[in-house]
Amino acid sequence: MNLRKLNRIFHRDIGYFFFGMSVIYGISGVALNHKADWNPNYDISQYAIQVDTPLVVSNINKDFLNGILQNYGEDKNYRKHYFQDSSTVRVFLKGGSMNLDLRTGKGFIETIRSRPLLREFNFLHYNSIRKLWTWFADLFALGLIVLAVTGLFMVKGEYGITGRGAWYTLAGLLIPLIFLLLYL
Amino acid sequence: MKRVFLCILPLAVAMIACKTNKQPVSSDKITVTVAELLAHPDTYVGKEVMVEGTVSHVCKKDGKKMFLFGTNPDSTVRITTGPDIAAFDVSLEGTDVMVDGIMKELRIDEAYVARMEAELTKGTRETEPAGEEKAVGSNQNEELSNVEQLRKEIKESGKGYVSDYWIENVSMTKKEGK
Repeated sequence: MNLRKLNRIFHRDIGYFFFGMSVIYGISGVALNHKADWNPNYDISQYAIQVDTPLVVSNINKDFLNGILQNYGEDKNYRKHYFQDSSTVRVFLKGGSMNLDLRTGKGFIETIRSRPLLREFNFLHYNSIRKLWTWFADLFALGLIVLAVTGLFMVKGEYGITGRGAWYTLAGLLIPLIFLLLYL
Repeated sequence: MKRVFLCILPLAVAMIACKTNKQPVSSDKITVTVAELLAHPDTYVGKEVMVEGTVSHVCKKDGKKMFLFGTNPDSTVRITTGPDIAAFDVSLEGTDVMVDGIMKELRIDEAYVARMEAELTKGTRETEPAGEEKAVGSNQNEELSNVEQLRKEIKESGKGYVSDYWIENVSMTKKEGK
């Protein structure tokens, strides 16, 4: 078995093995790249509510708050509540919270919904598990390097690393270099 | 071809068979309430403490910090992620947890404030003043006024610095079901 054939086999099989990891890290990479603009794990939204006044502090208890929450379909989600100050009650919900101004009856409900798949992908990308996952993620990183190197030698001739491939490789190296020169 | 496949497979198996030998140091843990921590934070600096409370807020931007209160919701202690946790889950808000962590102190003096001010002016500051979460819509002028407030506090302290205390999380246990 010659070197080129071995190279192709490594490239192909490592590519197969890390297909899932590449997709997971690729998708979550985009999500985490933009975490300054959005929460990549949760869809967090708020909507305003208006409750009839007067609201008396001494009447505020779980049952009373559940009565309010029922109007918004959140009565099954009550967790606990506390007074942020003398006129604001905050209610923790399973999957969000409610803030209510007792003087005006105005408030808002914040809902926190997990983004399907993205949260799981980000959990893995963040290495939240630590332990053995660290080793597998390291192996994946090593696999990417092997894929990159073996990828250089997949094709011979005009389209290979001695031809057009060299220019593409050089361009791919130059782009991060330019950014480093500009911003570091 | 099978031989090559067999080359890759043992790598994966060896990796799975590996065991981590990292063990958390757990000597002299002190169990305290949030109120006790806040009353004498300097007593606990550098020590491993265990504190129980309700999570009032988790930073929604990156989950790197959260706030815990005990019996009084007005008094919260800040918990930051440690080496073993990448981010706190937003869904922790409102849950009761037992946090095990190391009490930390940052002494903010004039040199620190000057550096903070320079970074804010240049627009390169990445961390928030005194570890507080940057308010939505906060602008540079507001942040610079926070710097002035810090300067005032440093002057009034008579020590030449003000302390920012927090707990760096080692581990955490939820006290109720998911």
